Amino acid sequence: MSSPSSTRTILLLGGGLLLLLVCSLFLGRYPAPYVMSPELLRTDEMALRLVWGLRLPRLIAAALVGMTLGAAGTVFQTIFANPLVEPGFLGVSPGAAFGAAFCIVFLGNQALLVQGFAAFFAVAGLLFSYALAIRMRFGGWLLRLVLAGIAVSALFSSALGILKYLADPLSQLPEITFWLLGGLWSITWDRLLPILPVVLLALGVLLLMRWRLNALGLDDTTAFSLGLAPARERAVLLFAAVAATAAVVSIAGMIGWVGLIVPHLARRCFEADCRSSMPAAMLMGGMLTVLCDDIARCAMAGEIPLGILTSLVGAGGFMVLMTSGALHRAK
Amino acid sequence: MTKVDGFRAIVARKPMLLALCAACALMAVLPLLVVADGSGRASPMFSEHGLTVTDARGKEIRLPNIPRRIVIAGKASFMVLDAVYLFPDAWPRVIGMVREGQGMDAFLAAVDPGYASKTTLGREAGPEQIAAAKPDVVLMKKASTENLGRSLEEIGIPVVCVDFETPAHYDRDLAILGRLLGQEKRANELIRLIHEITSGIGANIAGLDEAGKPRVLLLYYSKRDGTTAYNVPPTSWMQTLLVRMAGGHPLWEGVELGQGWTKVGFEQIAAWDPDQIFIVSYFTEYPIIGKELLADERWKTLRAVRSKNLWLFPGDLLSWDQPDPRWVLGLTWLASKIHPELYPGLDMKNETRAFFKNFYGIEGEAVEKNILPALHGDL
Repeated sequence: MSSPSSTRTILLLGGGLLLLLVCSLFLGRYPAPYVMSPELLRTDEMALRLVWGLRLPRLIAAALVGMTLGAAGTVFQTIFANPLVEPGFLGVSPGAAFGAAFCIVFLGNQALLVQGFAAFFAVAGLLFSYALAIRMRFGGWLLRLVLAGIAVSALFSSALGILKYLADPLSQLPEITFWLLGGLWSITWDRLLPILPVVLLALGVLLLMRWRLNALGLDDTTAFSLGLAPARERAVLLFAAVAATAAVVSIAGMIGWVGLIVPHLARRCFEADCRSSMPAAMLMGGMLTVLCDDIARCAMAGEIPLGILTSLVGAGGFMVLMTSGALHRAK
Repeated sequence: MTKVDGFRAIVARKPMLLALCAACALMAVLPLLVVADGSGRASPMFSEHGLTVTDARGKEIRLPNIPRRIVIAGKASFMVLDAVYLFPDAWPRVIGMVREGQGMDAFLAAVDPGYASKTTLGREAGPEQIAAAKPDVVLMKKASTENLGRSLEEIGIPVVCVDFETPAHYDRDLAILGRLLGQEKRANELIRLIHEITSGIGANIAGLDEAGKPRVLLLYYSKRDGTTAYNVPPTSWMQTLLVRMAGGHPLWEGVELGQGWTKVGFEQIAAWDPDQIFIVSYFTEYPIIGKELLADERWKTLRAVRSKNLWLFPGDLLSWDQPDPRWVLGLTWLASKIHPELYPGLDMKNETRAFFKNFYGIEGEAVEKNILPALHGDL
């Protein structure tokens, strides 16, 4: 059971995220840059529509993207016992990007279709990596899975390169570029609603199974002796993580570094106990993404791609995390 | 233990789980409220009476009145902006735009005294930046309607889509603009002017058989990545259509790889060995290109160079080969170079004067001072 202080901190994080979401509702470029008076919601019909129709779904999407990537990152890093993996690992994100680009180039830029293709190819990326790892003739399971993930990601990336070459530079290439840089500026309720059940269900599964994740990070024999069915439960967790990631990537594009840095940050605060670090990673991920998205939509007259900001903050944070604190170097 | 005690025990043991469940439930409920509101879209801002326009998507847009505040946004919107300026009465009604695209800014600043005071939008301007300008309508190309257009419509800002990519689009989209701006007479006049030019050229080349048409290569000269690159346009683009309409045979029609400019090497250019080569450049000055190509030993072996049929595509503040209204000037010039025997004594300066007078309503000093000095290319 997590300690009372951990619970308090997590509650504090939850409150912080909610507060950030409420404050962010009044940040934007309308009617003037940065802060909008709440009073305007009563007097200006456009302000009300903007907050209700654009800002609210976008903020919920930003929070869900961060929560999902944070949670999925924790699952991947724990199960693969590798602190350098993230949800894009195992061909998931490159698969989603390829799927979206394929749809944009050959089937048209229709939101739901693009989302569907992105989600399909994200899952296909995972299945392909998994199948390849099974057929590999050398190395342990984790090594094989890592190698398969690298190979499948490279395959999707090169196919994406071909699609970029074929794309119309005026209409299709900017859409593909949006995908690669990530962003939430096109989010409305009708884009958010279709992914909501998948994401909430998957996050619920991850949250409920978080205590089992601690044991699933151990070797099979130990996990089995603790009463778990390691293969099956790992598959359930991985599937939930990938499904949620595919769903959020399908609306937001490639949002880098959140899934890598946030689990590290959560572990730094709550140690490697997934009972606390999993919800913490979700909340921290949500806060980081909402904050970055606030900057993306407010800082300049044009939108800054969200993926650029999360990578900037993530990479900077990673450097600080890796170089701060006591020295623990192995030979 | 009572149910209440049980709940208290859960609250005491799993407060974090409950908080997250509450947050998830809140997130799940919010969209349902929107669904309960109807389709999730904002209710129409305007009444159902007034102006109805069917745009390039085939979508009917209802407006209460002829729009007084127009914003032009989205990708490649300079084509739309320039087309709106074909309606001089609409100039003051354009309140915001993306300022981009070669010499467009200089051109509009020169012809419209009110241009400097208009709102500038970033290339990636989102719905909030556009909404802040309080437009009655937003004009954009089809490529932008799926994302930006949808978001604007979601908050009740009408979006009218036009494309202006091909001569056929010009007929359709000028009619759309004419209706939207309440200037259908002007739109019809513009369409008539365009048809007059295109049908005149069509009639001139009507007697030519396909085999007798010169084999033409149009290349976009680019130094963007630090080295010289030659690119051919896709079959569907204005440049290819212009060559066809002017009575040439575009040699690159079979090599199209993508949907944008495709790089071709000198070997391929030599293999084609065209009768005529037209060079287009948007960012490198023509005298530099001309000097470079004519000094190149490899280029000297090409039939087109030997027969002095290497031409630099002209323009004023904007190049005449693009889907900008100036394409009619480009077409006239191209026809006169591909078939010089059909256009003896054609004076492109006079054609330019007539074009700006008929299409933009500017003449005299405004043209002599701002447009003619900017003419470049092999006129």
